[in-house]
Amino acid sequence: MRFLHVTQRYPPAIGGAERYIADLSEELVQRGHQVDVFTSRALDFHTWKNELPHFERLNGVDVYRFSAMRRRGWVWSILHFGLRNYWRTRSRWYEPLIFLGGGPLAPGMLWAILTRGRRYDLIHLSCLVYGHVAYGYWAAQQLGVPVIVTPHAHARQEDTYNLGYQRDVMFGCDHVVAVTPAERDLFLDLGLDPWRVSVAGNGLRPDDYPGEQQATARRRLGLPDEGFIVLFLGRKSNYKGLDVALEAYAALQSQGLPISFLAVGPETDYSQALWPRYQGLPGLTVLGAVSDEEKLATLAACDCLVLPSIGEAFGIVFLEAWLMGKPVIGARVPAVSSVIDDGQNGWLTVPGDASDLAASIARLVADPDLTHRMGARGRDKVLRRYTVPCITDRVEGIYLRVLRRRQRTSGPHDGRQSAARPLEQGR
Amino acid sequence: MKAHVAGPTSPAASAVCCLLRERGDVVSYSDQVPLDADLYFFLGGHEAMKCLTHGLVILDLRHDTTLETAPWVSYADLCLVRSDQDREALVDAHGFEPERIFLVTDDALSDLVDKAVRDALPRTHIERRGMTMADHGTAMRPEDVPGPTPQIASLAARLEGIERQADIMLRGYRVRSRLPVIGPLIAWVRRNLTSHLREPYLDPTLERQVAVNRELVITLRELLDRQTDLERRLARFEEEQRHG
Repeated sequence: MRFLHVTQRYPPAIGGAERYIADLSEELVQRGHQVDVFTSRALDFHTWKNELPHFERLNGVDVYRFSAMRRRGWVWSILHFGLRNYWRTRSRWYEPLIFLGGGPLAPGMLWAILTRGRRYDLIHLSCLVYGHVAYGYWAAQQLGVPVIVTPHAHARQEDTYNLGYQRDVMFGCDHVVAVTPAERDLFLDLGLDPWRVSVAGNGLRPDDYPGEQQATARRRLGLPDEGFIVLFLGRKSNYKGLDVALEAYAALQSQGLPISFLAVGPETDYSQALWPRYQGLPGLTVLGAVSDEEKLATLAACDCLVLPSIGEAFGIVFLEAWLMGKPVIGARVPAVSSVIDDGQNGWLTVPGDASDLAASIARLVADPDLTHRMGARGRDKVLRRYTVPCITDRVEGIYLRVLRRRQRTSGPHDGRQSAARPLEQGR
Repeated sequence: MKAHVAGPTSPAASAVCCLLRERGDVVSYSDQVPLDADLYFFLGGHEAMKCLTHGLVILDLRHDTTLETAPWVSYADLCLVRSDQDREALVDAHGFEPERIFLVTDDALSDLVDKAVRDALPRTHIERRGMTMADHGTAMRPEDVPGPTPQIASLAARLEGIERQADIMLRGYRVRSRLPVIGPLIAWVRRNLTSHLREPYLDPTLERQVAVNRELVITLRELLDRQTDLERRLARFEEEQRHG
C-alpha cells in the first residue's frame, strides 16, 4: 500500500514526534509498503528556518521537504496575541492568527498534497498543534482520501488539541491515534466516537540500547563506583519536576543515605535559577545536553530514573530506562499513570510532593533486589508492548481498519487489493 | 453476504460456519483466504489479516486460552473473547480498545455480526477498568428456543427504526451558495454569522441529544432482549406444564 505521512519536521530534526513518524515510516517500508513523507525543511521549530534539502531518501522513505514561512518575532507576537484572546473569548476569529503564528506555513506542501494526494491509500497527519495538520486535513478532505491524525496532545496544554480547527480535524478525520490510554480518554471526553480513537503508543528499537556495565559507565562519566545513583533525564523545564526531585534528594542526603544525584538534560532559565539553591549539595552532578551515546551511559550508570514531570504526553525516557533494566519513578498524572504500573516496574508519586518521592527512592535504596526486579519487569514490558514493530503493528492495523470501514460505508468492493503488497496466503 | 472462515479444521470452525449459514450467508471455509468475501472470520492469527482492505474482519480468540495470538487484535475490526479476564488482559496488558472486544457466545454471534455490518455497535465509551462488556455479553445470549412472538418482532422492528433515527445531526449539511464567483464568499459569511451559535451551543447540545438517543436505544434493546428472554422462558414453562 502507499501511505503519505505529513509531519512538521523529520529527522535529522530532533524530537519525540519526529522520531515517532520516522520509526513508523521506516518500519512500514521494511514491511513492503511505500511511504512518502511531506515535511518542512526546518531543523528548528522556533524559527522554521529552511535548512534541509528539498528531497532525501532516508532508509527507504522518500522525504519531500517544503520551504516554510520563517517564524520571526512578529509572528510569535501574532501567535501569543491569538492564543491569549482565544482562551479569553473562545472566538474562532482568533484561530487564523494562531494558525498563522504556529506554522509551518508551507504552500508548496499544500499544493503537493492537493496534486499528488490521490496516489496514496491513506494520509497520516502527525502533531496536531502545528498548522500543517489543518491544511493537510483540508486537502485530504478535498481529495476524498482517508485521513488519520496522531495529535501528540498534552492534557495540560489545551492549545495542543482543543482549538476550534484542531477539534474540527479530530472530529472530521477517519481515525485518531493516541499514544497513551490517558490521551484516548481525553479525546473521548471531548466527544469523539470511541470506535475512531485507538492507542498505539511510542516504540523503541531494543538494538539501539546495548547494555553497558554499570561500573564502566560510571567511570566514564566520573561518577562514584559505589552507592545508589538517582538519574533525572530530560529538559530542565519547570513542569518536569526537577525542583521536586532535588528537594527529595536533599532530604535523603540529610538522612545520610549513600546516594548521588545525576541531572542530565538541556538547561533552561528555570534550571539556571534553581542551581544556586542547591550549590554545595554533596553527590550532585549536573550535565547539560548530551549525545545519544552519553545518554545511554547515564542510563547504564544509574540505579533508577526519576522524572516527576506533570506535563508528559508519554514519557519515552521511562521506556529507555526500562530497556536498560532500571526502575522508574514518575508523577501520578494521567499519561504517566498509563505507562508505569505502580509497584510493578516503578512507582507513581503524588505530583509535586517531594516527601512521597523521597520515600519511593528510599524503598529502592533499601532493597536492591526489588530495584532489580522492577527494572527487569519494565524491560519485559517494553519488549512486549513498546517496540517499534509492536507500534507499527498497531498503526498498520488502524490503517487497514480505516480502509475497510471506508469500503463498507461506500458500497461494494471489487475484490482488489492495494498494489504494494499482494495478499499472502497461508500462515 | 459472502463470509469466509479461516483457520484449521476444528469443531469451533464448523460451529461458526453453521451459524453463518443459518444467517443466510454464503460461507467458505479454508486456510486460503479469498479476495471477494464481505465478512472474514479468523480463528487465530493469519497473515492475510495484514492485507485485507475490504469487508469486516472478526478475530475469534475464544479458544485461545493463553492469548498467544493477542497481537493480532491490531488487525481485526472486532475481537471475540471467552471471559472477562481475557478481555481485561487485552485492554490492560495489551492496550487494546475495550469497545472492539466482545464477550459473546455462538448463539449471540449472529446479532453481533448484524450490528457490526450495519455499523450499529454500541458507541458509548467503556471504562478501561471497572465496567466491562459483561452486560452487553449477557444481553447477547438468548436461549436456544423458537423465535420471538409477533408483538416482540413488531417492537424490535420499531426499535430498529428509532435506532436509525437516533442520530439527529445533519452531518452532511454544509452551507453553500450556487452563485458563481461570490458564492464561496456568501457561504463563508453565512457560516461565520451562525458559527457563534452553532459551535458553542447548538452542536454540543445536539451531540448530547444524539448520545442520549443512542443510550436510550441500547437500554430499550436490553429491555427488549430481557422481555424476549422472559417470554421464551414462559413459553417453555407452559410447554413443560402441558406435557406434565
